[in-house]
Amino acid sequence: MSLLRCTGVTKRFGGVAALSSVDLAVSEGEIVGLVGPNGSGKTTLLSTIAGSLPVSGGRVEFAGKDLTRTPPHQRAQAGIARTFQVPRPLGSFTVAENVATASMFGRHRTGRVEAIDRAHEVLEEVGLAAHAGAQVGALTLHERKFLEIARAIALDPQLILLDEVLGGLNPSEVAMGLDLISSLRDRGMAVVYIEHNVRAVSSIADRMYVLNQGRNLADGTPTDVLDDARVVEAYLGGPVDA
Amino acid sequence: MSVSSLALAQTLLNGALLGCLFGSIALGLSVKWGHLGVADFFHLSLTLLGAYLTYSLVTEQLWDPLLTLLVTVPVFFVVGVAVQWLFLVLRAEPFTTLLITFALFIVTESVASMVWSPDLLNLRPRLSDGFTTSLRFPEPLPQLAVQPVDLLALVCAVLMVGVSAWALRRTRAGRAVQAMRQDADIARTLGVRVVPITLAVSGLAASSAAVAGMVVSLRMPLSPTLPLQWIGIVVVATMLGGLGRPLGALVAAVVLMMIQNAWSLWFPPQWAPAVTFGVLFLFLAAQPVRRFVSEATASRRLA
Ligand SMILES: Nc1ncnc2c1ncn2[C@@H]1O[C@H](COP(=O)(O)OP(=O)(O)OP(=O)(O)O)[C@@H](O)[C@H]1O
Ligand SMILES: [Mg+2]
Repeated sequence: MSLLRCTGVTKRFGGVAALSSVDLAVSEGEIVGLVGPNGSGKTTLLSTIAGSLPVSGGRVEFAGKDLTRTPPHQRAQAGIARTFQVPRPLGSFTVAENVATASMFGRHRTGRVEAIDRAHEVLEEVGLAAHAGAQVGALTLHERKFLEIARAIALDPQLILLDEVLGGLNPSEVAMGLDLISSLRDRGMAVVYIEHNVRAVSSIADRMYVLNQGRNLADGTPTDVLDDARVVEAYLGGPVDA
Repeated sequence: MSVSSLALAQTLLNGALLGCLFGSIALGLSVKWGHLGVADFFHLSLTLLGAYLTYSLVTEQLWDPLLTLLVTVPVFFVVGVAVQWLFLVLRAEPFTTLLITFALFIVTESVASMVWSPDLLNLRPRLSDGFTTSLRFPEPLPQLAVQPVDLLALVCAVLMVGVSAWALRRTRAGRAVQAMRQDADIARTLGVRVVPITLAVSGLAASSAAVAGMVVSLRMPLSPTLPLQWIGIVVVATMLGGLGRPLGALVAAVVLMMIQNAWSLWFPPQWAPAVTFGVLFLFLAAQPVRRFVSEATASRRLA
């Protein structure tokens, strides 16, 4: 049985349909890559799963429950975590306090002191331990992106939604990030991973979905998807991994 | 004109204690403005209503003034929740909330005139001696005196402001409020229940107006236009103290009232309120200078 199942998800902004009847299913402990050209609706789909945006139609089910109308904080507590494409740290908190907030109000609702301890563990894991006490303003792009991941991990989710967390990073940072994402799967989290860098996604994804203009274009194993002629065409007719 | 140091000390003391009262009023304004983004002028009206309710309960029902809190605090909590709930339902922008609370501010003045008359109402003659006999300072300063009501103002201010400042920093709920103020969407994504917290903060702010209102009713004759006299000092203290920082607002109110009172010893007292705005002006004018200095020192450190 799938952990997450989106059926016929539709999202309209005014008259414009950003998503038209999109389907997506994610099983426990798998990494699902979500790719597609700019504006194809990847972030919008992720927002409807996390509850940041209400859907205009369709259903979102998680762990056997219908969460379509559930507010975002309840989805976080139910075990869904998301990151933001453009990092949005809480600016007047330190790095550790940002992460602790997630652990305080997430799935296990820990106390304040316990949350800070947990934050340090998570920061260690993502390689930001040295910055625990720093103000977020002092972080580089790479560190801000990893802070987004750390905050999501600290919610202790069953499903983690990553929106271009490695975009704009250099190759060695990307490699570190891919290892980190794989390690999430290894301890049982399901991951939906949006990335422009198709080669990076396909290197760790168990399955992939391709969106185009707000519709499902293709899904399957990375090899199948990348060989799909429609997918090649959607990416401006060029070979995908060029 | 020369002023004895004793008179100056007494004047400063009175100013500080009156500042405590204004600090308790500024508490709710500061918290709602800083953390909920609502510049709530209605908070001043609530304080006045709290004072009138205390007056009525003491004069008509013969209650002890402190006991009135058992009624006014919960009732005001509900009012505070209701007002914030209205803002949520209307999805009110900050400017809309400002207009609504300002409208309520004006309406309350008329309502108070109708219900309690536009005349001055004074509770002090009805109070027991314990409330009105001034207390002498112990040695070595027996010449200084304080009103019991002023001491009550001090205790209320320290308790309410202390608990608020502590709760904002040291409790889970306080962390939630701070996360929400910085970015409500992110807070939700991290599991913070934004709506109940917003309502509770507004309710607690309104409850603090009930306490401040009780002190007001004991401290000064009531008239429907009192909020207009408070608004300058309360708003300036809120801004000087830093929005959302109750302790800052209390300190600012105390200092401002000490300056105002001292001013009145040497200069025409009717100008004293202008001093408050003068301080705000100087503070705002100093901001660019402060920024310049801090940038200059920062760049020197980098160099
Ligand atoms: N809040 C919004 N209001 C109006 N239109 C929006 C909003 N958010 C997204 N859109 C539109 O919906 C479509 C899908 O946007 P979305 O951000 O989901 O794409 P994306 O696949 O994440 O793109 P990118 O790869 O650039 O991040 C776009 O046409 C976008 O302009
Ligand atoms: Mg996007």
